[in-house]
Amino acid sequence: MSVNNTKGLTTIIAASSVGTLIEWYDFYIFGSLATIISTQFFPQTNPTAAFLSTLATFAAGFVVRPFGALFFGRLGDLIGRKYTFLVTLVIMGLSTFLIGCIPSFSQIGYLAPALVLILRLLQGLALGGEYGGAATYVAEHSPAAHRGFWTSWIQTTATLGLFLSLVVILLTRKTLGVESFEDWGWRVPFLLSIVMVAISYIIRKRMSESPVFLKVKAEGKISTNPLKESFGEKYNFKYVLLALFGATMGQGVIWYTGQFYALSFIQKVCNIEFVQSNYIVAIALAIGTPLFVIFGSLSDRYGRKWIMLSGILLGVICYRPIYEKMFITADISEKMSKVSYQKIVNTIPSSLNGSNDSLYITTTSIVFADSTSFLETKKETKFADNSESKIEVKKATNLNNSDFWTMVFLVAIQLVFVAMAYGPIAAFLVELFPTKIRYTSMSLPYHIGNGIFGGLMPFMATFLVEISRKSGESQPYLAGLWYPIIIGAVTVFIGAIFIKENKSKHD
Amino acid sequence: MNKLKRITSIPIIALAFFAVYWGLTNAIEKITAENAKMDDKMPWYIVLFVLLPITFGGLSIMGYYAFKGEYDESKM
Repeated sequence: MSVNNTKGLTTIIAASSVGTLIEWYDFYIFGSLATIISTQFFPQTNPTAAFLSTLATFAAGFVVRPFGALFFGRLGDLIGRKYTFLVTLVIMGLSTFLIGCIPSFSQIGYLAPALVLILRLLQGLALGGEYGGAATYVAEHSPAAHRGFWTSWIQTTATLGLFLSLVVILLTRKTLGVESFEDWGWRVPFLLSIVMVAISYIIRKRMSESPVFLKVKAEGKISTNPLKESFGEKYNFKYVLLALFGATMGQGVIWYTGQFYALSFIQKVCNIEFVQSNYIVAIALAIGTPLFVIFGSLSDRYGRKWIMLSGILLGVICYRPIYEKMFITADISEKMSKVSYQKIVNTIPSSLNGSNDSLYITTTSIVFADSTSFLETKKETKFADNSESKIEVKKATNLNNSDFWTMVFLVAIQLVFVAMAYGPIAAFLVELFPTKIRYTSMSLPYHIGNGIFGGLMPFMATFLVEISRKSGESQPYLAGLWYPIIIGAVTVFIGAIFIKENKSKHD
Repeated sequence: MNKLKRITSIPIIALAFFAVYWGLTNAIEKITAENAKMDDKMPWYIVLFVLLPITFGGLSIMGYYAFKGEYDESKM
């Protein structure tokens, strides 16, 4: 490849990736600010608003994303990749911006949650159409021998989008102060989106259409009905099924486990302090993200199939020992003999809102000899009418330096599995389908694998832990891992037998 | 390899039936449970109306294709 070609390709990758990154940013800020959004638009005391909230949470991720994949995939195969992912970018950007403009439930009543729901659904729809477009567009510009390397940049955008959303939220919160942020400042990350999207739109608009698509169009070989050809014809549909059950299903659960479940486990099961837990995952992500490109590149040399399946298989084999080690690392019960300092700080009875109810706050602080510290805050509300007390306990462990880095290492290992499974997948999917139906065919299995199988990970894990607790198993906190382990094992089983390593099946 | 693919069709189809059995029994139990809130029910509706049809339909069709030799080396 010449220097000019490489430079041109770098520009294409950068322009495509920035747009996709912004779409992920837009999608994630809603999730990251879910608690505040809920108080502003979906008061839990109101059942209708609470129902709309649940719909907004689940529908956007599970139902609408695959529909977006079908709708925009079809469009992309009919009119071209460039215009389609320009449309998804605009829809996503406008929806995000408008969420930041909606008056609260207290100002306009039910119209507020209804509007948020509609805009959230539009976000899901746009996201469903974006990824396939960006991956296809980049792949169709890339030389076949380096397709894994170039498309792996697109693969980093989901992680970077999550990063960006957290950074913007934290910076806004720090600049405005917690009170202002919760009052109106939470709107800033949403409103900022319009600026980012406008810049990305201008860049993308200047880009040319995919040369491979233009060639197919010039030859008059454009599909007249991409949906029918993708899913109605046995020859292509069998590849859609293979992509789903032999690759994206397992890759989706590995991705969610390594990034979201790890954070949730550290915070909720290991009780690691909020800021420290975010640092652990952020450092691991910083270590893991470049690996997407490395494994994408390695897939050009050694093939996609075994790199992806090895990443999933490693997750299947290693998750339980890794999470057990994470639990042990944060477990303070073994440290009790080494206590250097322990103090009950206060127990304060106080009157609540002028009523006769009382709130007792008990704070227990322990510092261990190895510098690990533990803080427990117990809030007990005793009601004047003698009804059952309400108890809320918050635990926060601050790991010492050595345990902190052990935890980073354990999360980073999972990111290696994620990078192996996720880095080469865009190239793999693109090469599985012919140009005329590529956008449609690859988008659906990707969004079913990631949105549905991956997206259900937190829910399924919680359910499995609940079953395990009821049956009295010794390590119920590890039971949630059975979901990614089983799904991953099925994917490896199917993928190993049915996927044929064929890097250049389609250009 | 072709023979292995055809044999594999049996566990794939069995898996489809197992998934639908597991999902249906749990989803129905959770959805019809007394005092179940919408937050608790909603994921099970997703399982029932989205995950299960995809898993059952997809795996059984894939198993059928594998059994009929659609994934044979000559047809890939």
